[in-house]
Amino acid sequence: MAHFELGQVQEAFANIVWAHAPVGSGELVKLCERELHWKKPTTYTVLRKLCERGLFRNEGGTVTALISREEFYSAKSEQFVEETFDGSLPAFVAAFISRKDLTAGEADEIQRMIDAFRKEGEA
Amino acid sequence: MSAVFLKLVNLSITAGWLILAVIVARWLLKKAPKWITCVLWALVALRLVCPFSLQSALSLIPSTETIPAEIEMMQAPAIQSGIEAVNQTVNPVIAQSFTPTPADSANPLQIVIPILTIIWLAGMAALLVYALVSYWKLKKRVGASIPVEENVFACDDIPSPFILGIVKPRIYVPSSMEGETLDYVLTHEAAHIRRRDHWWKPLGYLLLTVYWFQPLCWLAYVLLCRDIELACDERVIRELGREEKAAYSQALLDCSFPRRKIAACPVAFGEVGVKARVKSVLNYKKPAFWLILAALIVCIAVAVCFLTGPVTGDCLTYVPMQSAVGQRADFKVDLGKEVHGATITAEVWNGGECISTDCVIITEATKDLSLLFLEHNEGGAVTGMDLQIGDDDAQPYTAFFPLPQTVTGWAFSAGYDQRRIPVKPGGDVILAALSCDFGAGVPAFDCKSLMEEPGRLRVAEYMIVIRASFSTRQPQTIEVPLAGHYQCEHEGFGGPITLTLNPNRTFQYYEGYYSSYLGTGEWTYDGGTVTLVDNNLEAERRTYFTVDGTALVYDKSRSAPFIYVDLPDGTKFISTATPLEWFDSFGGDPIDYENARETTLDEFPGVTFRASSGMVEAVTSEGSERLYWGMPVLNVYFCDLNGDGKRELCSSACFGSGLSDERIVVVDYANMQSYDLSDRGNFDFKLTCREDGLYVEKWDYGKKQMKDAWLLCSLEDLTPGSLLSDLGWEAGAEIFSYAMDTELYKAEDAGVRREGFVNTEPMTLGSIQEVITQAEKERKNEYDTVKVAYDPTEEVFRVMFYMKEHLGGDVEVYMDKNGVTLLTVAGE
Repeated sequence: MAHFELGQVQEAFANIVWAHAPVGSGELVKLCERELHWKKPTTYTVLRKLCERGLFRNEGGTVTALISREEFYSAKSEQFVEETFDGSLPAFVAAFISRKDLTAGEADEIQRMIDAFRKEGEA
Repeated sequence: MSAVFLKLVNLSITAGWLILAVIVARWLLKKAPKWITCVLWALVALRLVCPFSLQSALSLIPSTETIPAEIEMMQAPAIQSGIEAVNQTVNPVIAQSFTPTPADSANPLQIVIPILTIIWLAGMAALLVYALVSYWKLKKRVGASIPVEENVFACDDIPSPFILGIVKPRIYVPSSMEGETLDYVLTHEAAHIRRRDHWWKPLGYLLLTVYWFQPLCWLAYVLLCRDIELACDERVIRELGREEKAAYSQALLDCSFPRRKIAACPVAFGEVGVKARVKSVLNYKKPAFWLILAALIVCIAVAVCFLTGPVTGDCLTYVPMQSAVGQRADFKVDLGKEVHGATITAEVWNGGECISTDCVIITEATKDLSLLFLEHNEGGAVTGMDLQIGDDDAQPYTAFFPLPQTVTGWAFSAGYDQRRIPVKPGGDVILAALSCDFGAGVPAFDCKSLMEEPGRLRVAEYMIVIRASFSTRQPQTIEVPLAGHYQCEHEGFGGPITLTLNPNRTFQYYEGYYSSYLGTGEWTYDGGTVTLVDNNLEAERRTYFTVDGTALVYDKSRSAPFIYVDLPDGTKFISTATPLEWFDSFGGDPIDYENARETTLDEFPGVTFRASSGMVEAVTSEGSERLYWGMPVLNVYFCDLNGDGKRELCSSACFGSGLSDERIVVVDYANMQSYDLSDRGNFDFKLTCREDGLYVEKWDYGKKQMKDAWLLCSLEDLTPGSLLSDLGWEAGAEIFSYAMDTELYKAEDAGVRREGFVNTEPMTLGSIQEVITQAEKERKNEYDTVKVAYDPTEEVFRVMFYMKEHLGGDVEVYMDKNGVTLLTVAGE
């Protein structure tokens, strides 16, 4: 089984499931609403993702953990998974940065700029 | 909806200029704080949102209405971009493709423009739908998030930190972000929120959905997004120390070159490169005060020059109207300040020449002008065209154009459908044109093409062209000397209150007929005030008047009171230089053929002026003096033209019968001198009273066409004539018409002699007796009675020699005023 990293949000959700598994899906929705302020579709989406990853199983209205918490954290690996984000942010959204196609060369150049600036300050 | 679309297109063109200006300004303000650049973009947004624009002479925008709102209805569609070169290139193309031909049922533009409107709406809808769908998808995605701090949420699934929400903006950060990077990111996003960028960006996008067809708007939005980012960076780092700036730059770099993930994302819309931002951060220096000031001045300059529109100024607007009877064109007239009047001329072009013109003069007072062509029917046949030229209050003036042949049809064009035509002093414009079809057809034309290619007028078979020419003549002002005779608008003690300022600086005033007090003294004028110093009584009495045009206005607060009357403050004393109407048959006061009118003037005590239908005389206790006559006298005004304080009689009168012409006669009664203005057989002269004084109107003989009009302000325009020394007056009441008499004698040959006279040398005739003596030489009959008659128009004497008791044997001798015999008629 491939182990993977959990994002912070997925981790928070997984903790709730691990704390209460096995738990009815309706019950789970209520728990998420209470603790995370999530709506029902959100809960189901995240649950589905983690089920796809093989962490949990949702059958006949009951959610069970296929891998326990201890098992998961003890077998952490350093696999990097490519996350593909569908599309970029829409134009009208104020963001921090969106451009990601920096080449390694450019990144180095900018790092050098920053380092040089720091050095000047120290001099 | 098409109208809205056209308006938006025009707005987008206007905004395009502003965007270009802002781009230049941005480049100039590279070193200035970026928030100022955002202000410039706010100006662009303002321009796109606001349908109105202030007009300013400083505007650099060529035109705010490039596509005329009524282009669909124009017979010759054209744009006015404000740039000649563009107009010259584009308009011929438009003319070729979109000028409606008579075969078309509709203007092709009426089909094309609605289609374009639909395309525009579709584009707008598509962009809106895209925005809404993206927003909704994003919102769903960040549903799976957990709060990290107040108003900050972590989400697994997002590529970069951003703000979502307009009313309650929330910051979302990727859940993997932490530490210093996270801190700086939050500072940056918080700055976005403080700057309200979560409003400006969507707003800009909304404008883009509307103006998507204007490529410059896309460019503007891209640049706006960049400037917002840079401005936000500036806001964050301006309080940061050097090390913190470096750390912030590091955060920028880390976010864009994540060591964990390599994701190939398409370039996000409108983003500044990281390198540029880092550079900008590292090189940031707090801007000097003067720099900010200079930048703000640039902003103001851009606003003034590109946010305002050009002054459109004086104009004629054409409002088309359909008339069942004939062709009609209506104009709203706004001549403005530079143009003082216009002459509407009707030209008839036939066989390459302009064969006659007819004109009407309109002034700044005219607000509406209508032209109406009507068929002139006589006995069932159309003999010509009547053109009625009307303005708001006056009776329409009608001109008649006889047609050379039978007309089978007309073609009519009124130029500039529903357009404002800017007019320039000295310029002219063709308002309408009517072309007649005599069976060979009429080539297509319109007013614009006639103006651009005057050659067309020369090849037209028969065309009536209505042209408006705009005069450059400045309104004349009369300088009336203050010296003169003034009459108070209020009654005094049993009669009019009068004031006479003499040229030698003395004055008299009278407070009415019953008043025994005659005020005398010296008057002075200084800085708009006339001061009378009355030293008749023991104490000096001063009276003050301010000058208002040609009137004096009584200033009660400073003046010593009048003796017999209590005049209110502001009482006007009207000068004799203001025309005083006696009667005017042109103004609707009909000529009274039965009774005589009488009137008096204060400056001529004891004189009564009497006007009957045929003559004007001055009656005193010694008898009556004939001043002049007319058949009939049409109007009389009293007005001081030579500044002597005594009014002259100014009059229009007709002379002659048969061949009668209209003249202007002015009688300077004070100096016993008459003047006239006439040109018998060529022109008629008419005296009219307008707002600023008496005007002379010069008309073509027969009163069909007014050629010119000018203010009558002195006697120099006129020809001095003899008056009371005219022998003819002494001939008694007998007036005859030489023309009529000679008509009679044409038929008869018997007894009529036209040559072989004794009196062939001109001489001076000093009295009636000399007239008789001179005439006697021509006759041989026996007589005991002589009757002398005079034709003042032809200046011909008729002396009749006959036997009182006998019938027959009369001789009539016709002589001119120099005693030369013209004709003799001997009766049976």
